[in-house]
Order: sequence, then C-alpha cells, then structure tokens
Amino acid sequence: MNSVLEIIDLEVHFPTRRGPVRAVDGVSLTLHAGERLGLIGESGSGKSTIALAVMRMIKPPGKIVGGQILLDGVDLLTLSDEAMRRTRLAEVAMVTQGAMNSLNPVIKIRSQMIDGLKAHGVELSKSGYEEKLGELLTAVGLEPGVVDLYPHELSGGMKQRVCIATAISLKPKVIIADEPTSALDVVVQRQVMQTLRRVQDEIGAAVILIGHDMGLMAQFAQRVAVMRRGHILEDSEVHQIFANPKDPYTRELMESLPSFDRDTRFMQVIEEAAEEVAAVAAAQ
Amino acid sequence: MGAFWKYLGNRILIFIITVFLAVTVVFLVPRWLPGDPLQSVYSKMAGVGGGAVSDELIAEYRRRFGLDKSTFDQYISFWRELLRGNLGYSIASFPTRVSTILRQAVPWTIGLLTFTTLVSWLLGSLLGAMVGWSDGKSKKLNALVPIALVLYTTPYYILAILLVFLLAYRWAIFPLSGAYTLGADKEWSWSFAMDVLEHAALPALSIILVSLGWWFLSMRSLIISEKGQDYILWAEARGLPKRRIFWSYAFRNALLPQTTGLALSFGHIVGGALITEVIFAYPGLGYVIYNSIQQLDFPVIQGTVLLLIVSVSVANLLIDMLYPIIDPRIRIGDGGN
Repeated sequence: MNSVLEIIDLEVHFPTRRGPVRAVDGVSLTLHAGERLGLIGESGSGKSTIALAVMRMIKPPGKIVGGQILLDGVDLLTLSDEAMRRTRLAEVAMVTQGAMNSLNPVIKIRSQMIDGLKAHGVELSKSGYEEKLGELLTAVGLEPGVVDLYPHELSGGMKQRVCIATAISLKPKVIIADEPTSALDVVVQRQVMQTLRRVQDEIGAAVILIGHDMGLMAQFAQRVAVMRRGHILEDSEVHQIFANPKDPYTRELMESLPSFDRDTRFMQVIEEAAEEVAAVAAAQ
Repeated sequence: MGAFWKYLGNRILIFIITVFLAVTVVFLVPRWLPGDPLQSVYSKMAGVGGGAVSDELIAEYRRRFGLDKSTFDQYISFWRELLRGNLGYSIASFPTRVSTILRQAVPWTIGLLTFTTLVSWLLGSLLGAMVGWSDGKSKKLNALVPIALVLYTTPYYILAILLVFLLAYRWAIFPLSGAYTLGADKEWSWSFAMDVLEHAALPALSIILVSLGWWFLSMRSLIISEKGQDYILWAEARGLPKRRIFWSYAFRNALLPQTTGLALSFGHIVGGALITEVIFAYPGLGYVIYNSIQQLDFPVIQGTVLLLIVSVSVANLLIDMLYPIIDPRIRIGDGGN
C-alpha cells in the first residue's frame, strides 16, 4: 500500500517563559491511501495539534519548528500560503470539534457550502451549484432542501453532516476528523460515524479520526496510534491495540475501559494523573 | 402573521405607558424645584418700565399660564391640551409657541448628530475591525489603539473647548459659535450651505473624534473574540481566502452587537450632544433644553423631553423590527417558545 500522508519527525512548540512546551515532539506517522487511522490520547496529548499542523493552521505563538509533512510526496511545510490555502479542503479536508458552532450562524447553508467550492475555483451555474450541493447532502443522508436553512434551524447531527458533506465536496485524499461527534448524543454519534465511513468508502479518502472514545475507535479505525505528551507511544492494528497492547500506558488505557469480565483499574489511573498534576504544581 | 401583530400591539402598549410615565415625571419635577419661571418676565418688564411690577400684573400673568391653579389641575389641563396637539407657549420667550421653538431646533440637532453618529460609527467600526483582525502584526495599525483610548476617555466637552480654543480662537480657521453667520439669508444657496458647514465643522469634529474612539475599541474587541470562533477556524480549514473570512464571517458577525449599539445611540440623537451645543452655542435641542431648564420654562422643558422620549421609543421599536433582517436567529413573535 502506498502512503498518502507521511508525517516525519514533526515538532510543534509553544514558547513560554520557562522554555518551549513541546506539544508535538518528534512525531512520525504514516497514513496509507484509503486507510482509517485512529489517533487517541488524553486531553493535551497533542493529537489536535497534529491535525492543525497538517492543515498548517497552528496559531501563534505556537509554531512548527521541525519535521516534514508529505502529502503525496510534497512537503506541505514548504508550500506558499496561497498554495496551502488551495490544498485545504481540496486535498486535505477537516471536520472540526464543536459541531454545534462550526457553521456561520448568519449565513445560509447554501452559501457556506458554495464558499468552499468557489475558494477552489469551482465556478458553476446557479442550477449547477444546486445540483452539486443536492448530491453532497444526499450522500450524507440529508434532504437537499437543507441548503435553504440557517445553522440554528439544524440539529447537532445535521450540522455535523453538513460539515462532512462540505469536507467531501472536492474529493480530498485525506479527511481529518477531530472529535467529530464530541457534542452529540450516542445515537447521533453512531449515525454520523456511519455516514463518515460510507462517504469515505465512496470517495476513497484516507481518514484520521481523532478522539478518546475507545468504542468509536474500535468500530471505525483499522489502525490506532496512541499519543501522550507529544509522543506516539504505540502504533498498531486495532485488534492488536485492544487484545495485546505493547506500551504500558496503552495497557492502562485499555484496562480503564469498563468491562463485564474484569475489574477496572480506572481509579489507579486517576490517582496517578493527580500525582502528576501535583508534581507539576510543586515544580513551579 | 398573527404573532407579529400581537407583538406590535404589545410594543405600542409599552410605548404608551412609557410616554405616560415619563411625561408625568417631567411635568412634576420642574414644579418641585425652587424658583419662579416668571422671574425672567418680571425682570424684563422691570427693565422696560422702570420700577417694580404691580401685583395685579403678576397675578394676571400667573393666571395666563395657569400657574395659579393647583398642580393637579395644571396636570389635567396639560394632558387635555397635549391630546389636542397643543404644547402651549414658552414662558420665557412669550408669545412664542413651544412647537415653534422645537421646529426651529430639531433640524440642527438631527443634521449634526445623524451625520456625526454615522460617520464615527462607520469609520470606527472599519478601523477597529482592521486592527483587531491584524492583531498586532501591523505596527502602524496598532498605533491606533492608544490614540483611540485617549479619545474615548477624553470628555467630549473638554475636546470641544480645546478645539474652539485652537481652531476658532487661536488660529481662527472656523467660526467660534452658532450654526450660521447671524444676519445671513436662510435660503437654499451655495454660500449659505458653505456657511452652515463651516459652523458645523467644529461641533461635528468634537463629537466624531470622541465617539470614534468608542466604536473603534468596541469593534476591535468584537473582532478579536470572533477570531476564536469555531466557524472562523472551519472557514480557514475550508481554504477560504482571508478576505472572505474577514468580511462574511468575522466582520459580519461582529456587526450584530455593533449595530445594536448604533441603533441605541440613534435613540439619543434628538437629545443632542447637550454640552457640545452649549459650548458652540449651536441652536439645537440640547441648547434649548439647557436654556429652558435654567429659566424654569415649564412648557418648553415638557415639550422637548416629550419629543426625546417619543423618538427614543420609536428608535427602539424600529431596532426590534429591523433586527431579524441582520440576525436570522431572531424571529419576531417567537418569544414565547
């Protein structure tokens, strides 16, 4: 299988008065064409920072200080701002966290979806746009009439579907879904994930799914990378991760999952985390 | 549509209650103040006739203005006349009607304040948005922030006095006071228009500069908080050009609270920039209010304040009607759900 996205030794730092915080510290990750990769880790482990780094949307003072991000062999970090802008959505699309607020509240769905097309030079007639948007919305299980609505007239699940429909509008090679279901209830979560799975199949895009919901990961991902403190601890097949985790942290993570046939060690993980926080506080 | 009419009916009811209460207060308060509104009339007569004014004459004047009756009777007859559209006569400049005084003052105030409010709002909003969007990247734009802070914290009358001193007294570029050269023909001519503009320049400038600072700072912080919104992030992730994100996403959304601010300040236009008008002796409503309060000219105070209340209420009603156009999330009549 050939790789579509290759992250090599990525370093993203946020400067502070006590030296840089290494949000992403020497991460290498390969994504094969059409693959579904899960990226899991606790809050602050750097998984969303990787997503923003691939989009080249790290906000100052954060900065990509080293490494390469190869998309089909081209290093995204060497592209001009304009070339990078064109790459977004067309080559790498992102479905963001916070499904509830991703859409501009004062503009109708139609013009928000057309915005993405126009930004990449897709000029269609009025009916051409209408047809295109209709197809995209149908693909994610929405009525074409949704284009006439404002975001506040949609449910959370519908909004996230609009985001997915937009993300696939230019058939990108890679879709990065950063906790796409974090604000949704479990039933809608499942529907949105199924939708993402289906459209991903249809356009053959590779997907990076970021999150910390093990259940969702197990259902969706083929391969899972575990992150902590800016490092990737383990990168294995999904069955491997669940059945036979190599890294001690991954093992703890797996054991923290509620299960019918064994006691959880989840209190212990929390206690360790509390000790770490205390240690950081004491160091200051 | 039924919901709309019910809403409108509610609003009109609130409007009527507001006007009733405000007019009552405005009727009572000046009458509780010490002093006699006829004092100026007596001294004028004393000046002309030489010597004291006779008791019969004073009694006659009190009767003419209804001041001999109880406050309650005056109140009733005030409402009776008001409903007939009669605001009565000014006491201090009898026999001029209150309506005449208002009609002469309103165009000056509205002309001056509509212009200054719009200009400072537009300019302040645009500059503030640009500075907020660039967020420290441009040194030149950033220099505007402390300037705006100074302007915003300067009391407008101090700025006005400063402008008068420098530009009208020291260098005499602009006229000192008034709205036009006394004795000029008030006609639709080029020279009279230029004369009016010259006189309006300094009052306008002092109001614009000060309110510009406020609009600038408010828009700047609105845009900065817009930049953290999820829809801005997602717009960027879709590869939209910066220009499009700025206008249709950041600016468009920041405009909502900013427009509320504009609409509210329109309500205050009729009140005028009172002190500015006094400093420049600009013959607008602010000047009229100031003089009428000094002279305890009850009918004029009542008339101007009534006009103020009505226009603020109407402005508020208009905002409520127009707001759904700029913010689709607001629908008239949905309040109960």
